[in-house]
Formats: sequence, C-alpha cells, structure tokens
Amino acid sequence: MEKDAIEYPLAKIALSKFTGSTIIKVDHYKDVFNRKGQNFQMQKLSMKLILAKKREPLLYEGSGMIQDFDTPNVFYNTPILNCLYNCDYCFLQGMYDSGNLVVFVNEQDMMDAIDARVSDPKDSSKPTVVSISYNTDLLAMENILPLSRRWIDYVRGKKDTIIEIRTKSALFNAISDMNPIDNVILSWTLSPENICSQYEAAAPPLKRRVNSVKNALADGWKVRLCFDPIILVENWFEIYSRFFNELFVELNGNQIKDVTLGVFRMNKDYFNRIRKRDPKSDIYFSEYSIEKGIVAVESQEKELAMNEIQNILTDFISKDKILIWK
Amino acid sequence: MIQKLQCLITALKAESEPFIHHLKLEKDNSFDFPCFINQRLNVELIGVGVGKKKIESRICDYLKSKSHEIVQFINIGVAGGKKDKANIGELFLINEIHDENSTQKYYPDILIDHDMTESSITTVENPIHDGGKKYDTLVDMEAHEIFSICSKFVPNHNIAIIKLVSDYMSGHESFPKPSTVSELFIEKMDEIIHFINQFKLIDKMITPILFEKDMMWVKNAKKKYLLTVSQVDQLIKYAKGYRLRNNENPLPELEIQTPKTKKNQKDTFNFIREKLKT
Repeated sequence: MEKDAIEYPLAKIALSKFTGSTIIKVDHYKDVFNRKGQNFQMQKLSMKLILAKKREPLLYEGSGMIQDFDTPNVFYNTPILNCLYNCDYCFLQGMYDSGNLVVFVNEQDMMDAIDARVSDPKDSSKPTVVSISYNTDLLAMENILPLSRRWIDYVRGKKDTIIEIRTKSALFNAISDMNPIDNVILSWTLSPENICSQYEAAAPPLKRRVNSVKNALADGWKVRLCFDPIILVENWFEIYSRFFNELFVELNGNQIKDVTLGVFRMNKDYFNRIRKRDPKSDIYFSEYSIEKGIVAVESQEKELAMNEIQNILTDFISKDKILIWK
Repeated sequence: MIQKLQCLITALKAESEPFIHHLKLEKDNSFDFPCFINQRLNVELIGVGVGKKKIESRICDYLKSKSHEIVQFINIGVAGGKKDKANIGELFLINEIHDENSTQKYYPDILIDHDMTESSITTVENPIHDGGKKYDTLVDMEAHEIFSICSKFVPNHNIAIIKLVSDYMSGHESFPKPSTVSELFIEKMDEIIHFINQFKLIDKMITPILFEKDMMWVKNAKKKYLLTVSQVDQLIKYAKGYRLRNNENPLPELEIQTPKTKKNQKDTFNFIREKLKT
C-alpha cells in the first residue's frame, strides 16, 4: 500500500476485506509493480493487491484497438491495473511485468478529470464516452471493492457523459439493487463455451455470464455484447453459428444496445513480450500479419470472418447495431 | 522437469553449521570460500562472511559453474530485533529490504503459502548497540547486498531471506555466543526446512511448453537438416504451437533427406514447418 493511499475510503474498505493480510507500505506503487525480475504468470497464481494513488494522467485518449463509437470524445481510464481473470488473449500480460492488481483509491480525482474533459469536448454535439474497465474487469472486483457502484453513482444525472463497464463477470447481482441509468453501458464479453474453457479459463462460464446479461436487461440496463475477440479456431464458423443461435434463444436481440466484433489483435511489442514468456496458449504460436505495429489475423481472413459473423448476427440484431473493429 | 538447485547463503559459521549437519552437506574444496553440498538433495551452502564486502565476488564465483535458471537463493541468518516487536529465536520471512546507505529498496516476491511472520529489514554497515532506536525494522548486515546481487541472476521469486532474531542490539555482551546462535537455528530447523521444501516447488507452478524430448527433437532436426540459428528459433516457435495443439503426442517423424543445396535446405525447413502447423 502506498503511504499516500492509506487515508482514502476505498483503501479502508479494501483493508477491511483482507483483515489477515500482511501490509507492506511503499512510497510508490511502481516500486513494487514495475520492479525487475517478476514473472507475470507465476504472480497470477498468487496475486497481491496493491493500493495506490493515481497521478496524472487520469484520463487517456481512446485506443485504436477498440471499435468506433460514433463520437470522437472517447476516452478510457484505469481505476484498476490488471485483472482477476487471466484470459489467454489478453494484452495485459504483455503490457505489465507484474501479474498483481493495482487499485487506485482516489477515484474522485479520476472523476474530476472526466468532468473537466466533458466541459471541453472535441465535438460538443456528441457525448463523451469513457471506458472505465479497459485495463481490468471492474465488475469482477465488485464483491471486494464497490467500484462499479461508485462509478455508476458518479455518472448519474450527467447527460453528456457515458461510461462503459466491460466485464466477463457474473456479478451483476452486486449492483442489481441500483436503478438503471441510460448513460451507463454494461458490456459483457461472451464467447462460445469451448472458447471460454480453452482461452478464458479463469472467467465465469458462459451460462453464468448470460444469466447476468438477462438480469441486467430485465432490470432495464443498457447492455452491449462484445464478441471480441472472435477466435478463428478450426470450425470457427460452425462454432460461432451454433453459439449465436443458442445465445439469441436466451436473449432478445432487440433489447441489446449494440454488439462489438473483432478478431484477435494485439500491439506487436506486447505480443512478442508474451511469446517470449512461454505462454501456454496456441494463440501465440499461430500465423498472423503485422500491420502498423499490430499483430492480427491476416486482413483477408479477418474481413471474411467479420462478414460471415456479421451475416449470422443480422438474423438476431439489426446491422446498424453491429460495430466492427477494422 | 529440471531439478532446482537451492543455495543457502549464510554469513556466520554459527549460522551454517546447523544446516551443514542437518542436511549432511559436504565441503566442496573447488571454491576458495566455504561451500558445502549435498548432490542428492540438490542443496548447497555458501558462506559469504559478515558484512557486504565479499558477497558479490563469492556469489559470482559460485554461479560460474551453475546454470542460473535452476538456482534458488535462500539467505538464512541472524538479525537484531526490537524488544517490543520480536522475541529472541523468532523467525521472520523478509518482505522488504532497506539499506541505511541507499534509497534502493527490494521487495522479495513471496509466492508460496508459508507460516512465518513477515517483516521488513534494514541492512547496516556496522553493528548497532543502542537498541536499534533509529530502526523500525529488523536489522542485519547482509540482506540488502545479497538480494541486490542475487536478483541480477535469478528472478525475485527465487530469492528468499529468512532471519532469526538473535539479540536486541543492546551491545557486544548481548550478542549470543556462536553455540547459542546455532542452538537457536536447531530449534527452528523443522520450520526452516519445511519452508525450503515448499520454496523448491515454486517453479513447478509453471512448466515449460516443450518437454525434454521435444528439445532433443529440435536439436536433432537442427543437426540433420543443417538449420540456421534463425530457423532454429522459428522451429522452436512452431514446435511450441504443435505441442500446445497436440497435448502429449510426439513431435512428427521427419523422414526426409539431409539437404544438399541451399534451396534444398530452405525447402526442407518449409516442409518441417508445415508439418508442425498441424
């Protein structure tokens, strides 16, 4: 725990959840998080919680790795670094040397930074969209730290600000007592069950995620479905066709705000760093092309796959609601 | 699975003797400093003397004949404690290391479950006799330098610092006799050995993708098909993909001729690569 973080309410909540833990006080979280000689995957097997205070920058320009959301006012922030889950295809493995979790306890400073940006938008006719769960899975932490709840409370009534909480968790019930609001998008990443078990082993199984989606929709929340990344395994077309057919028996496509689609892609440096660390996933030992510093499925194959997937999806959801990473 | 080699590092003879005896370590005369080994247990012990000055040279000399990837370092030694915070003979696993003369701090990566109390420690240049008024931590004379040197060679999670409180830093006369120091370690021997055994298992948490027989396959392919260094790197990458897709199936049989020309060599490599894509 950073010495500067001790007095924040969120730090106190965290400490109350881990009463038996050993606390090491540090000057700066990077003294621990960025130290040399760490092993990301080994630390994932014995994750430590680092409580810290976020300094500037408190808000980042939207990444080119995400879909275009019809507004230039797209940003993300990092209430947490790293994720409870450890999906094979996740860029965090290549982004950080540490597998430990950093929670920034000064969420009010991050909120103030958004307010300041919203007051001076790039395009004042459009809302500002902030992804608050870009480098983590915020909702997955909700039983430990009520961060999603606090962010939803923050954005309530701010009509020019939209926050997106992207998750694979099944913890919608942790916020189900809250009244839904239009400027919060709850986004669930969903994959066919065999993709979940092979590449998202630590995340909740598909069925539990879908139950959370159903409950969120029933309560009136805006829900985005993220089929991203689509993993082009052998027989991917059959696998994803069956998956969508089964999924949209459970879910009403008309109730979904939109869906995002994208193939596996990653910053080249992250990809190479992960591959050097001997990851136990065939994803890092498959054939890709590299364009503009991004490792991705070869563009013809990507386009073909995205078109095919889009075609299947249009049976369930209107085309204008399908956002594709290109 | 490659066996880990555990290297215990001690400063005083009184610290090392209980372990030499308990682990049946035998003197290795190939070093010009104290080094004791038990090949069956894969445990070795080196003495680095009191203070920092000989630590770097001895650890570097020791490592000259070892593969760094397989070594774990465990510093076991005495420390001064504060009277109100520690009991004589109490064991601590160190989670933070300061040095009185440096702003550099180290944080060992403790990845295994253990039953010891954790503590921070400050490494000092000279013995402290005033009860350690200035320090809020345990105090010793080696841990910082040991961690600093060892962490240049092995990952943090393969370094552990275990300290036993020997005195309250209240003057020469309060420091126990060597025989008493040894007795304190003997009393805690089971606890320390349990930790050492657990610590050895760390690297089993993550195993390499390629089996030993796979690496042999790569080595043979390199030799038979005259592969370049870059081709071998690629071959390893494709072999890893094959291994992950094919569980325990052996890498494919390669019944092809040794290439005779440069073009033939490239074609051969491409053929092997295609085989590994399955």
